[in-house]
Amino acid sequence: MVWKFDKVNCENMKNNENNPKNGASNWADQVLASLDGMERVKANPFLYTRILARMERKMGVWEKAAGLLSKPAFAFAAVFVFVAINATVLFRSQAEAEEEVAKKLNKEQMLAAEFSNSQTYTLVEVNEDK
Amino acid sequence: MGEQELVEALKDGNEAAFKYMVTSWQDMVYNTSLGLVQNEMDAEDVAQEVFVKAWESIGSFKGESKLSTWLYRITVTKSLDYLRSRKRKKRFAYVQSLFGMNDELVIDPPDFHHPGVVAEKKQLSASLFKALDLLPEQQKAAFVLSRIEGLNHKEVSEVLGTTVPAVESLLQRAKLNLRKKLENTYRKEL
Repeated sequence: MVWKFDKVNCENMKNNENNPKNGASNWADQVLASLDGMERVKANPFLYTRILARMERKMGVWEKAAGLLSKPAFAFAAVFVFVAINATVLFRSQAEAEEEVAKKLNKEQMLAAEFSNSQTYTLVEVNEDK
Repeated sequence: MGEQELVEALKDGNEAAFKYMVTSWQDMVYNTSLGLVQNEMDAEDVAQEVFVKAWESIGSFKGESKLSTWLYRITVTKSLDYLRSRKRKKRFAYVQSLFGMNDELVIDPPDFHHPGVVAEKKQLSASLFKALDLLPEQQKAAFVLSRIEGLNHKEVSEVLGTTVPAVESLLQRAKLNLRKKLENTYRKEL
């Protein structure tokens, strides 16, 4: 960072004082006192007009948004998008639920098939064999 | 027009009252903002924002403080927000330049010469404003309100929402930090 400052003042202080520490301190004092006697700056006389223009611009944005929302075409499009999103979510969740039920059924059927394949003997059949 | 009346009129959406508020306090708002953002165009932009915000949120003004204190508070908040966003943009531009995404040079702004400073002290005050820009936000705000706006410690504490001893401490640290920075500058330059 480049610092610019009053070189004339610094040079004077440098010549007057042999001690650089005092020079730095004196210069800092001068800089800190540089705001003494300063005046309050006046704002632009057209500030009020500019504020009104800014508020109108801001209002304009909201009004445009409100106008857009109140247009029938926009409203229909918004309703269509809303319904389409809801329908998609509904169908997708239904399809997922059906798939899950089918998987569960499939598992149960496989289990049933496994048990039906294995041979079962009744007590009577066992006694007859003997 | 009394302050209570003015506030009531503002809450009723009276445009004449708004104009009265702007013309009464525009210099105060602009001068405070200028001390903080150190750029005349930016200070005017912030001043506009302050009055728009005041108009929009006058309903939330409870009258616990003076209207001027409330306006000071909005000004300090908006100015510090502005400084933060400027820093963010500068940092982003620097990062972009590192990756070659932005060919524009990231340059430091020129020295700020406050128009209210007496002519023979302008150069010295430019060094002060440069050092002031490096202070922490609260110290910077306390210093500007006290030294540029000339508020007393109690008024500064009301604006910053803190106590008088806290403001005294902030100002003491601000002066100490400024002195350190200025002495370092002097040693580097000579």
